[in-house]
Amino acid sequence: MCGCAHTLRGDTVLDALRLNTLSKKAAVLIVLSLVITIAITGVFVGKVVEDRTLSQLEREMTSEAQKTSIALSQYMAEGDLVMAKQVMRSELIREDVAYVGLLDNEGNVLLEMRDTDIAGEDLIIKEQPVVDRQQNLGTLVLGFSRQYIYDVVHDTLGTLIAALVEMFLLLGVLIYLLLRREVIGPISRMVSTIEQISLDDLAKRVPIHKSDEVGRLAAAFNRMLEKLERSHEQLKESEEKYRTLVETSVSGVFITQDTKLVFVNHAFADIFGYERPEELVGKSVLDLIAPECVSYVREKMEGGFAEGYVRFRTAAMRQGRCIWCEVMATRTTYEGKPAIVGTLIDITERVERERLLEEANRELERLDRLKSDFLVIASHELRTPLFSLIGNLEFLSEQLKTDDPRIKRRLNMIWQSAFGLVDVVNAIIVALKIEAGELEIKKEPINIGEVVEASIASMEAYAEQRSQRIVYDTIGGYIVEGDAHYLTLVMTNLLSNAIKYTPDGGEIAVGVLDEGDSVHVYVRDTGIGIPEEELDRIFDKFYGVGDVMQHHTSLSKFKGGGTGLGLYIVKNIVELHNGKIWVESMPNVGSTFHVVLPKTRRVEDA
Amino acid sequence: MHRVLIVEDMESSMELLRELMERESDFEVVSTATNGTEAIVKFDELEPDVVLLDLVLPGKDGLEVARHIKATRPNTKIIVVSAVVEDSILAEAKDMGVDAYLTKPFTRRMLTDTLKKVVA
Repeated sequence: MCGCAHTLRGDTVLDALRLNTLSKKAAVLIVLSLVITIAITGVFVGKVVEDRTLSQLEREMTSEAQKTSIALSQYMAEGDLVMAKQVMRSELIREDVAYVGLLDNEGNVLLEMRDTDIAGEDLIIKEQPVVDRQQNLGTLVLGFSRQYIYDVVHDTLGTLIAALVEMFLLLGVLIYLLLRREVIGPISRMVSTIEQISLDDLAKRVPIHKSDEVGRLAAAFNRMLEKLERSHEQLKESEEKYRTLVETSVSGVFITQDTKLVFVNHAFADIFGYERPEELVGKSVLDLIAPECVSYVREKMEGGFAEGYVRFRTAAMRQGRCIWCEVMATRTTYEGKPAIVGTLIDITERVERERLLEEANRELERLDRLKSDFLVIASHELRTPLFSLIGNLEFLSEQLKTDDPRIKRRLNMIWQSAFGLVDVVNAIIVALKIEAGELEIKKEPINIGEVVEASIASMEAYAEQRSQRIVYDTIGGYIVEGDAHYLTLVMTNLLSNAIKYTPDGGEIAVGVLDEGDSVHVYVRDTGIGIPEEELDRIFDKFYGVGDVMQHHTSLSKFKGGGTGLGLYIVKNIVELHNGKIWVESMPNVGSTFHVVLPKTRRVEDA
Repeated sequence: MHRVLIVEDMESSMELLRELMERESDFEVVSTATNGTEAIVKFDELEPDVVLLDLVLPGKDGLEVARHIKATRPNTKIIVVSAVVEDSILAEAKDMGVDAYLTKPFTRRMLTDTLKKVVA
């Protein structure tokens, strides 16, 4: 690693020698190949040529010796030594001959000539007998210069090798040039084009000239550039879009790094009373938080972001004034470093409204309690004098001992009024209890038949007053689980209504029927009936006949008499007994109220 | 003969109760009290069998008196005679062991029936 760094910084000479381009590599490769090829070829061919040249020279030397021997034999047969010498001399003159000798048949040297500057061992001797007509005259000895022979061979080889080298060199250059044109060139151009491409200039394309792999590479690269260009466009568009989104958002957007604001949008600046976002960049976000909330906010922002984000409310400072903000933030990176990005809205108004709502609720609760308390106290206070009223009334009627119908009637009216008052007070209390969910129903086995009969009995006087009859269709003795007092209340209520809303002389019919696992009680009257549209409202609190009227005046709620609580109470009691109540009615014909209660068991009629 | 103590703060009510009890042949009113403290004193002194007890009393209230009665002579029959109908109070009275509860206003008949039930 260290060495690498060194060379990178260093020498241009060294740089030039490094194989950092395809051309250089190609050149080196070609040269190496050439050298090896030449070496091998050279050695091989050289060997062959050397052998062949040597053989060739061998043959030439031998034939030369033969030729000379023949020439000599003629002269020797004639005894012409001068000519013989001549022949020998002409041989010596030859470059390759360095010695000529003539021997007699005994091997004695008759004649010899030699070149001046050679030693004996540098000769290749060729001997040829001189023969004339099958008669050995002597022996010719030709000494060829070994040096010369070798020189010839070497020259030949040299020429050959030179030729080879030239040829291969030419070949190498051709290959190199071809390589450059077809491969290295296009690649190189492609590389330089690619090197020029930057994110600012994605429109450039690599030139394609061929359809080979290089061409395909260029084409593929161009396609990639297309995609890159497009994706770059999309990215810019997307970035632009989000930038716009952030800038036009009504929520404040912020990015902090190490609690310093590195980005805020206009809305954020606005929330904190700044003209321009730039004014806030660089400030610590904690400066904007109300002092008492700083540690809370710090904790939240530095915390684990359990679900990936954090959401909280905090008090903040807007130019010295206190405001409430809701913040939602998550972790991100900004310019390579960890940061927190989030949105923030001013919820001061909302917090205020919540507070007011809470206060209003508390006030409502208080008033509700007050109302209940008032009603309870009022009923209590009403009951006490009523006790005296009724008690004394009883004694009075006894003490008077009169048969005077007028007195009796008057006493009766007082009695009715007093109990009317008692009923009102009781109704209010029961309704209050129902509303508060505090009405307790005793769960005892009650003979509903008996309850019904008792109620009828108690209502008979009232009915008689109105010249009405109460008839019982069937009264069976069935046991239901419930509260005698409240069930009696239900019955007397229903009967009382029936009597009230039926004209004088009318008829009230009551029945108690078996329906398997429940008891069905009904009260039928021949009264004014209830309009269809009112049917589902009659069990509402404060529903009265006054509601039937078209015009509501301030006095409407008093019309029709009664607290309007009767049926409301009846329905609730029935339902608390796990029963059901409903009504059928036809205006001017009459109404029938039905109550169904779950049975426990039937008592056999006596 | 059952001996009865009546505890009631309102004069008119007291008078009425007295008169009502006079009509009851099996019962004799031995004393009356108009506040809680007096009630306790008279109760300890006279040891009645039955106590007609109002709840809303000056000084110690009816529940305190009831507590005292049941703590000292638990066999005494307590009939609460009151206009109060709040369930929490009724429940407290029941827990304390009062024997009957008459809600004002009531008829003579209701009183008679209750008395009969209680001493039975």
